[in-house]
Amino acid sequence: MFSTSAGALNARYLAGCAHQGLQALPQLAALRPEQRCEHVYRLDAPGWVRASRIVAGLTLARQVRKHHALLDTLPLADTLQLAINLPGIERALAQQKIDVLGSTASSYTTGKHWAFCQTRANPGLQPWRRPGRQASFQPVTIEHLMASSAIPFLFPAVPLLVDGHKKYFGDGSTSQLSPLSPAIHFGARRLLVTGVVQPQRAGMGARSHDEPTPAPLPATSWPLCFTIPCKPTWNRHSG
Amino acid sequence: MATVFHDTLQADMEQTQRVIQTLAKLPPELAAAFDYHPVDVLALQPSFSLDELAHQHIKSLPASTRNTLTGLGALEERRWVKQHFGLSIPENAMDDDTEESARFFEEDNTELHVRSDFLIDDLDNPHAIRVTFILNKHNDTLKSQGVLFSLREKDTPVFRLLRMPGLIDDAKNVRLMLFDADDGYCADTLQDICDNLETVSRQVLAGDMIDNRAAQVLSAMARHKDMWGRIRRNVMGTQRAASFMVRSRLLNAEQFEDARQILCDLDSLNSHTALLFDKINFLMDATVGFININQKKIIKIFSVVSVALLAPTLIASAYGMNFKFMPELDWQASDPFSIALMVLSAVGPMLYFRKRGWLR
Repeated sequence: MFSTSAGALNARYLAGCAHQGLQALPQLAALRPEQRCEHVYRLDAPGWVRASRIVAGLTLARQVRKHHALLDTLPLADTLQLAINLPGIERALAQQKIDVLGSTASSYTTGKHWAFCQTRANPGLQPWRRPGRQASFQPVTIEHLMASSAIPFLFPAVPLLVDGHKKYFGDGSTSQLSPLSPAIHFGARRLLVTGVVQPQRAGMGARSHDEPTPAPLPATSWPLCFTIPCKPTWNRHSG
Repeated sequence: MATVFHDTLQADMEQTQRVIQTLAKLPPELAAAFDYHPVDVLALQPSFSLDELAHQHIKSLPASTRNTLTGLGALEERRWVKQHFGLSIPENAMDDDTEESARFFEEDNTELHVRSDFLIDDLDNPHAIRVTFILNKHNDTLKSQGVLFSLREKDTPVFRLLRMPGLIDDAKNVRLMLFDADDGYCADTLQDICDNLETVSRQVLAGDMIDNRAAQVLSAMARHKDMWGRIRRNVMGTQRAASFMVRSRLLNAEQFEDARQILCDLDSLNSHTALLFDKINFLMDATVGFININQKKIIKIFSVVSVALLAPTLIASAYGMNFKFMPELDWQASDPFSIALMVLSAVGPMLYFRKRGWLR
């Protein structure tokens, strides 16, 4: 089971309940509607910020100074601690209910995309290293989930220990070039993929011919600027 | 924000399929030499726009987040509607105009604008909410075609009464059903007034109307009359809006029949409001009449008392005169005699008034 960003919580929850088989799916479906924004982030803003853009901007600046991001994700850590059955994951791996559990994150320190994989004791595989992406075998903890879902600017970067060094990570889906590769590397022959490609995005109306407002321009152009298109891709499908 | 994330999943799946197709074309012995293997991929994707889904749940955001987004101008629904549907909502869309041309009109771009007031039957604060409907029926270059937009400052009971609006396929049907629901809501409110008036009417017609009770009845009557006025205005507004829809020639035969039925219902409701108006006026007049009777009773008591005391006052004045010769001065029974005379002169007229029935 490999997952990225918000999907990491789903995969981790299912892995924790793997011994229950398909019963885990309705449990997950029941868990999600119970979750509210208050369970994910906290934003300390007084009611009068709505009065002016300057006041709202200053409030967000204060948040950034305090939490190094616009939102405080401490509630998410609590939510994950309560929701994820970590001993259940260990048990599922030991009983070979699942072979490998992984989540991905993007390193702000090196710019690489990392796949963190948790396997049973002797998987017989070595971590791989490819241009722009790398794998690391280590127990995937709550911090890894926090890193995988740390949306840039909104959520603070999360420090993780890789190669003996502390590096800061953000959302795994921002610079993810080959989302299928970790599963293929582990020898998967049949993949069930749940994505979030939207049929149509707001603000990008198919028949809207109006000039876009300034907001979506940087959001669209930043990732394009920082994606290197000439990275070698021929080794993708060997994993 | 969704544009920050690349949807590389589809591209990766396409690459995977290409590699699989290439492997299939290679001779088996050559394909076995590579460290590749075929992969079957089943991908599940959302069938509904996540942005639209998120937009539907904006009200579930924590207050601090909503306030901040409002402060930043990110929750401007007008701009979102413009971007997503290409519909420009006029700045004066919620203006409180009453003239026909300002409330019901068709724009140059064929958008139909209808502004109606919807009643909120709140006992403490009854009021009407202005709702503006915009419908682009013809312009198929915009995504807004066939979508009924309603602008309102807050939710109204009529919108809540509309059952499963998502299952109604035609925007004009939605609007007709809203008018129908409004008609029903007004009828219910009128029925409530009728029920309350029955109670008030029993109190009034019982006859024993003391001042405090009369004040309560008058207060209740004033509230009912105020609500009556609002209902009347609401019914007339809905009538005008429904008539405009009929005149706009956008309705098909079935919708036309529905609109005609709504207009008939509104007509009968109008007659009912006229009847109610008469009843409220009658009860108010009756209550005011009882108050006048009570006032007259008080005045009568004052008059009787003053007339009854006229004779004793005369006697007291006579005996109070300081004349040197007064035969009763040396009479021993003069004091009780004068007092008895005064009492008799007071009681006498009272008995006479009672006998004539003026004290009832």
